[in-house]
Amino acid sequence: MSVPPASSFAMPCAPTGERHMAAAGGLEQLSLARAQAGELEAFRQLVRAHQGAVYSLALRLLGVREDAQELSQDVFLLLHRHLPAIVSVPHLRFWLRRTACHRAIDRLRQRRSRLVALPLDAAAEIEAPALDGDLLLERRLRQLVAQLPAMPRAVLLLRYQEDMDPLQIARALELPLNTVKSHLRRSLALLRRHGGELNPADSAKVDT
Amino acid sequence: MSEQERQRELEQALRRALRPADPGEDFADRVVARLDASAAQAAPAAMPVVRQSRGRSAARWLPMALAACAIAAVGLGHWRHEALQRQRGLQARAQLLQALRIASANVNAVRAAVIDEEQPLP
Repeated sequence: MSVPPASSFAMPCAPTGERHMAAAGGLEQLSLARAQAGELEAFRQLVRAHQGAVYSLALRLLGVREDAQELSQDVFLLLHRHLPAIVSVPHLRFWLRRTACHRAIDRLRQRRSRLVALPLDAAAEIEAPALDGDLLLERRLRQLVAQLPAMPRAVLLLRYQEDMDPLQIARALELPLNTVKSHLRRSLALLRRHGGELNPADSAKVDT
Repeated sequence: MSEQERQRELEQALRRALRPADPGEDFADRVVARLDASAAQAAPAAMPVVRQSRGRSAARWLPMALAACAIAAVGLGHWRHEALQRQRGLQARAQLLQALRIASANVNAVRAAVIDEEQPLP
């Protein structure tokens, strides 16, 4: 997979008052440099820093834990080969999310021929326990997200799980910006329409 | 509740619902172990493969190279023989022409002498 140009990944300015985040970014930059120099322990730190995001994307796109574990490990192995081309931590974050999405979508396409459906229960039990908020609503939302087609689901995950803006999502998924916005708008409308039904037993197949 | 508020609430609920999942504490160790395993597999396997392929290709190409050399040598010998024959032919032709030229001169001289003798003196 090609590496996006470095010019798009200038380190964003940290807002004032978020020194700990800046320090963490600095440490990660250091880990990146050490990993690029061949230090395995530094690479392990990079994996720990991003494993949650990559695994969650893979899991929510594929819906099967074993597949998600395998795919996310593959993504990090691929990262190890591509380390010399990674220029910054934002670039690294972007690369990992982009690669995870593309690989997961490719795998879904391969799987489509075998007609393997995502088990709803597996999708529902993906999550760590919620700390607050409406547990039923969150579970219902996860079920609905799991039923979206692959590309709108990837767009939604990058937007609300990874907090990427539509332009970054468009770059990551190689989609026109308007398509990304359209996916977001339609998916949110659909979630709003079906999310109100809080009874999980009512989870019918969502048409998109 | 306004449309905007409902939208914001849905987005917040989505963010909460889509919190990152944990792949397990030993995930990074498993990645590094796979990295080590693939590196270990790649390193020793590379050498014999190269040697084997070199050996195989040498065994395959050596007879063909020898045959090509033999054909080239035969062709070169044949070409040299032909060239030598052609040169000898040219030399023989030149000698023959020279001999004819000398013979012709002699015949002309004899003929002139005979004519001189046959003509009556004035």
